[in-house]
Amino acid sequence: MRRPKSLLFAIPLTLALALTACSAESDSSGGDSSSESSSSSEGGESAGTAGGTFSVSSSEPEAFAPTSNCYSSDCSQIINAVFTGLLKVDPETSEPIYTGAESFESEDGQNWTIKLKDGFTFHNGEPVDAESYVRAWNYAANGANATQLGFFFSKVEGYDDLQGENPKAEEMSGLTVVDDLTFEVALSEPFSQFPLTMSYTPAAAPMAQECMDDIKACNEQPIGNGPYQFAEKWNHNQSITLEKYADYSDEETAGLADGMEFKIYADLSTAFRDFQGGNLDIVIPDPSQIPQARAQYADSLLEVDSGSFAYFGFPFYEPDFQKPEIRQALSLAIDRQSIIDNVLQGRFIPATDVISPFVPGSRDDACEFCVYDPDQAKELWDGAGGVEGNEISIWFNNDGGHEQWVKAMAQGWQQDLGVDFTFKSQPFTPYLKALGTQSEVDGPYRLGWLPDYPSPQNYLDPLYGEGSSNYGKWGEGDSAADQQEFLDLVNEGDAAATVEEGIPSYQAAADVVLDNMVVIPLWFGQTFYVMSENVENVKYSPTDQLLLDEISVTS
Amino acid sequence: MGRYTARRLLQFIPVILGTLFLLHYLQTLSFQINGNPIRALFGDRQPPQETIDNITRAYGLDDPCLEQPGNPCLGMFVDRLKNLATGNFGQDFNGRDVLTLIVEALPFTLKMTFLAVVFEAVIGIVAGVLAGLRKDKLTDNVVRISTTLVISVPIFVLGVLVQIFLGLYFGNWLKTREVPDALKATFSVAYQEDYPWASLVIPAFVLGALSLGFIARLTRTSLIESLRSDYVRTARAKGLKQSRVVGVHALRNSLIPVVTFIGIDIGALMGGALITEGIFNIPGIGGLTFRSIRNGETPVILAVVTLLTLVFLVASLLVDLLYAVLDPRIRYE
Repeated sequence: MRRPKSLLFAIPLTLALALTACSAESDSSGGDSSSESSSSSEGGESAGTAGGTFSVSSSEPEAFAPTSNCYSSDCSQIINAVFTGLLKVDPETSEPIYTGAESFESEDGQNWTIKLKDGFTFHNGEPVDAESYVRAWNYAANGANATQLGFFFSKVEGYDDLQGENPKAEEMSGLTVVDDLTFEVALSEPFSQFPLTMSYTPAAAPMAQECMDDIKACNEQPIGNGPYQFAEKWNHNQSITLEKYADYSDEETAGLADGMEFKIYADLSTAFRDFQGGNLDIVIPDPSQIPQARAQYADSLLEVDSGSFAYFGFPFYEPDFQKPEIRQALSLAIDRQSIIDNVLQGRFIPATDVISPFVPGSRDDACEFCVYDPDQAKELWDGAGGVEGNEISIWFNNDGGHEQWVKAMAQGWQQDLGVDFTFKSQPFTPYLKALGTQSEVDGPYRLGWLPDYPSPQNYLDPLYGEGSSNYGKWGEGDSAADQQEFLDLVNEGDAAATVEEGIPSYQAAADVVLDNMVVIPLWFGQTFYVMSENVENVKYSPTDQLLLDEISVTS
Repeated sequence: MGRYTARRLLQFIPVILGTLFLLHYLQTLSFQINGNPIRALFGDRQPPQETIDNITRAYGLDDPCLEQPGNPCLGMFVDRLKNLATGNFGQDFNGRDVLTLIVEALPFTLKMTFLAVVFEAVIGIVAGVLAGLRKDKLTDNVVRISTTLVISVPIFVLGVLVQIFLGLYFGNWLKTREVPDALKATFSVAYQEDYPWASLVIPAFVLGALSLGFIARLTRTSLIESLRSDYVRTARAKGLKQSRVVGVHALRNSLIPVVTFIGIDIGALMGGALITEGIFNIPGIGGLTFRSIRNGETPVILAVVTLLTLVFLVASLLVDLLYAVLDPRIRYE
């Protein structure tokens, strides 16, 4: 009797053995991951050697052409390397640094003259002139093109004529080309922060004529004007490789590395494991992996402020929440630091203002009610008579990892204020619908904010002004006078001659928000990067993400 | 046989139309109940209403019937069918053609599904045969215990464990050794562009693991049953060699349920790739579906599910045709 002799039956068993055998290995081999670059980074502090390539983890970007369709950090990160915008903001001083622009000038904050630097060319050789900016901006603002960033130009004269299904006009009347390198922008009202808004490069980037003629092709291989160009077509869901653009004219923003690769991951935790496997130089770990990353890569972490702001809004149409004492008590009964330490891996900074710390004008003692003071909270709460039925509904979306900290916060309220709570959670799309329907939401609701440009104005007007993010309808009924005071102060800031001169007005406007506790400021975000020994001088700007052009490659 | 095939192919049409309508209705309902998915594109930030209106209009989601819960929006369905007939599958929210997205993603999933089927068929059948021939012996027990283990561990747990231990720890250990690069790529955390086959081996194994367990057990039971049947006894009595008795007589008959399972499984694997592709970062259909569901990208989901329906239909037709090959008593006309 012949029996088939095969090893195959043993495979499930060997697999199991391999699994257990390797787990013993894990402690020693997990650390030194990078395969060849075992040489320690020589040269010490001398950052700034040119050459070499590095790789960064990324999610699949949304769009590159038109750049005005990019309203996320993944595409804007790459657009910032492929395009040189009008200006950028220094991440340390928050001062504007002109890159593509020579100057922004205005007598009255309403009529601006923008002069461009000479010598910039697109990657296809076309010169970057005033026309290329005006072309891109008109395209962005045109409602028929359905771009995501068109509203950046809503303050430009003639913007309204480009809206609707069949716009009345194709060009904004407020844009005038003066000569090759000069154009004028007329706004419908004074706005001192206008240059800063244009620091969001995807909105402000110029567009080459060749790109305009075939936007689809340009999306696959963008024609930028920046220090780096696409080495090949966009390899969707896999990678994007950038190389230096040889004819780049500006030495200051030219970039150090010869090239870089963005490896695209659908899942952050896989990206971090791939980093551990030595296949990446710079990675953002998944929040759940941060303790592990801290333990394993203590020397090569970058933990920096991001502009993100988390808050709880209030439904001002509910009588209970019209009482300021109730709103203040809820804020005083949140132990922010303890929630951050115990639930959020220490990744946030407790809010002391509604303006993020990295933005000029932010203060660390602005918010009187952002400290943890259970006694005062209870006093205010009882003084105001609590809420109807002694129960509040807490609203949040359940697909963004918010469940745990909201629970911790709610338990704190229960303990300190003696109030019962129910959670009203749902996925993001219906959650936004509920917020939009407004009258439906009957308790505090979670939301967040990430600024487009580092101006205090960008933390104020969009959230508490008449804009659509003011879901709680602050400013209707009894609170109308408060909101009017706020709006006047913001307008005063907008009309100031310079950014700095506007700050006192913006701070006063923030005080109105904080005194009234229009929202409960919770915390500001931090971004957490881990990097390999292959890269040096990794810096981060809260709105621009990594400063790719300053990264240098060791070895 | 030709006629049978033609009849089956004709039956595809109502099934696909029905699927399309069902999907369309589900998505209309989801829109009516959950609200405009365009809003979620902007995250917590809320753009001005005109921006949302512009984009909603550009993607054809401004139909007033989407405001009326329960309305099946037949007009939209007819438009959609007309578009599909002309090969226009619509666009995703980034303005890319759905057809392009699928054409880009499909090869990865097909490759991985192919490897997974090879894995589960070869290893599963061999393990099942060995276990069946040595019923209640050590081999049988090993197969039964190991398949129980594989079946009881959820695929996302198995995937992450394999990724960490085989991909990361073993992979890192392997990097310090003198082995071919392709082998290093096989034991890596994620899919690698430069090694399109090698780096799919382990994900395919994870994808096929569950079915592998089922196939081994199915083959084992089915073979044990055949071995007890009259025709096997007759074959043995004629003095045929064991290999011929098992290989030609018993096994061929025992494989009918196994082939049915594999056929149905091809469709299931392509759908199940959602988790495996997510874990191992493979840019296939699974990842595409995942993103589209999250963003509520109706045209993409519609196209992918229609495609999966087609795969299911074709696979089950092939299975039915294979029966005749395996068992000569089964005939189609």
